[in-house]
Amino acid sequence: MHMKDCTRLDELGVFGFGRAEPVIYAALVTEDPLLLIGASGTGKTYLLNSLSETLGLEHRHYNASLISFDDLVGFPYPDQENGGVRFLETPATVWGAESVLIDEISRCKPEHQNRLFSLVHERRVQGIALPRLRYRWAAMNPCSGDQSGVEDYAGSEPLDPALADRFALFVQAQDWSALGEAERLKIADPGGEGRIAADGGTLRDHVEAWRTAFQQKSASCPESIIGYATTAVTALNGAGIRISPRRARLLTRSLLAATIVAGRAEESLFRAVLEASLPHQTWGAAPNAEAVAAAHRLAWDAIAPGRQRWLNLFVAERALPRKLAILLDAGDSPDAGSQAVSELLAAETRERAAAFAFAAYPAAVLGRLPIGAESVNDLGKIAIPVLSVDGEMSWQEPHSQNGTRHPDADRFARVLAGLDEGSGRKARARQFFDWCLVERLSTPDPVALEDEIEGCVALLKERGLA
Amino acid sequence: MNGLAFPGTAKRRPLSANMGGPMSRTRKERVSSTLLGRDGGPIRCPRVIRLGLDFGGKAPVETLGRILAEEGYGSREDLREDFPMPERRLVCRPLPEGAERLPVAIGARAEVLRQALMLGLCTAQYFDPLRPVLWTEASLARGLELFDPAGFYA
Repeated sequence: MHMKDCTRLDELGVFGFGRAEPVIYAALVTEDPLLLIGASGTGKTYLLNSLSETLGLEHRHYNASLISFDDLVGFPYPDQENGGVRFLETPATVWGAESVLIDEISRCKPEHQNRLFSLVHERRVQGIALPRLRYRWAAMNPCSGDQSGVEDYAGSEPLDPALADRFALFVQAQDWSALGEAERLKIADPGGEGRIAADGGTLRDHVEAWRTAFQQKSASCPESIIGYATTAVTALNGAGIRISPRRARLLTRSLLAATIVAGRAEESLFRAVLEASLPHQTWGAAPNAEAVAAAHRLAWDAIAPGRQRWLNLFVAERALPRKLAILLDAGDSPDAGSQAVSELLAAETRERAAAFAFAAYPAAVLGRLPIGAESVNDLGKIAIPVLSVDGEMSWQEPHSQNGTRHPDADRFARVLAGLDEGSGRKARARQFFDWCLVERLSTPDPVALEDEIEGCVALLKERGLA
Repeated sequence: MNGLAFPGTAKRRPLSANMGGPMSRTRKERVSSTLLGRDGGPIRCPRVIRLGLDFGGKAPVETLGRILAEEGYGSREDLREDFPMPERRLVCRPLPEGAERLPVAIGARAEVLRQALMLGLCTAQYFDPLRPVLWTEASLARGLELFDPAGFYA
């Protein structure tokens, strides 16, 4: 039972979301929070209310810009039987709801955002669990300052990134200019207005079947999906597009659900889910499209069988010790290992390439890395000048001062001061920093780089390779 | 450009017209440190051997080929039988500038051949006893110090 068999959204009277259908269904399957973003009049609210109708859910629709907290929880009154407080329920209160739509979420006051936070993230209000609540949906206009649209929504404030990070998927509602001719005609036709979205339970049955499959497969999620998510998140973070560890898991869940819905793991589906998993547009910082495309390409190649997979993982990984671990774990031949090392030495900054070579070259000489002779030589060309430094450092001293020290020498000295006197770690760090001084490399974060060198050394020792 | 001396500043460096703010000075300091060749301290990468032949302007490959034949060796690989070598790979570093080399013309033949054998097993970066012995103009002309890298990971 796959998406192609399923009732399409336009059969429910919802038009313009055809391309986002797999992503929307994935959110129904995972029951993770879903946020729709789009210009006014693009059918965001209509879609979500129609879905609740179709699925036969006990639904609540709140307008976050107008809502008061009492609307959500009802009126408190003393509970004379048990002590404490109870809430007087109304048809609008959230108790008993199975789906909740928080409309205009970007237009509410910060204190309301904080209350909605626990509703979205924990399915709780005032610390009280909402056990029947399955779906948490929200909608918003593009936030003010986002220049990507024609209109500037002055009242739509950037979402708090912590709140945005609780949503698993973000669907862009298409504006008129992006719609196809058939969709335009259907939307413009007033014939279906007011129609109840009912399909005889078909979509509900599909969602339940998909959800059962999802729960079964979640226990042993396919390695390829985890590999894709891991590589993509690593690459995005490496490109300066921050993705939280929580989102890595949300992405895996969404990918798994989407493949169950679609019945296959195809590239366009993975890309669509990845793009819909980026929260940045909710605070007006849409990520660089090329960087996202590159991360997808890297991740997709990474789940291809064979050598390319681990090489892509290696390239995507930022941390030097983890790169080394991938090389040690997955190096299937000296040729592939050499290719990986060449990639690293070419792509990294000079000081990071030197840090890796410095830590790995002695082990490579001893034949403990899965790389060829050429790569041992390449590492040696970089590492030997670090292992033995003999040169001159120079700096500018203001006319009014005497006896100054090289400013980087002071920075490095502070790092060294935190290391155990007489330890191998300190000796290595001092040697590396001496090389940086002579080579005039002002390492931006010497603490982090020294830590990476020692991470590599520790890994080699732990594996018994040093 | 004439220097201008202001009252009360006779001992200060004179300011020159258009020189702007006080000039900075470039300071330099020598930095010399190594983790190779140490027998003490937390990191011990002792030097194992020094290699360096002085061919006195003669062609290295041809000179060694002649010596090899004169000493009765069929090929350079045969040298392995008479000259035991370190069994594991070692780090190579270029000999310091001006370091003494063994004159091939007057040096003991056995020592010349031993060094030539080891140089033939070195790249500029490492010594590998399992490589084939390669004698090239470059490999024989190198001056190298060989260090045991195992202590680096202390």
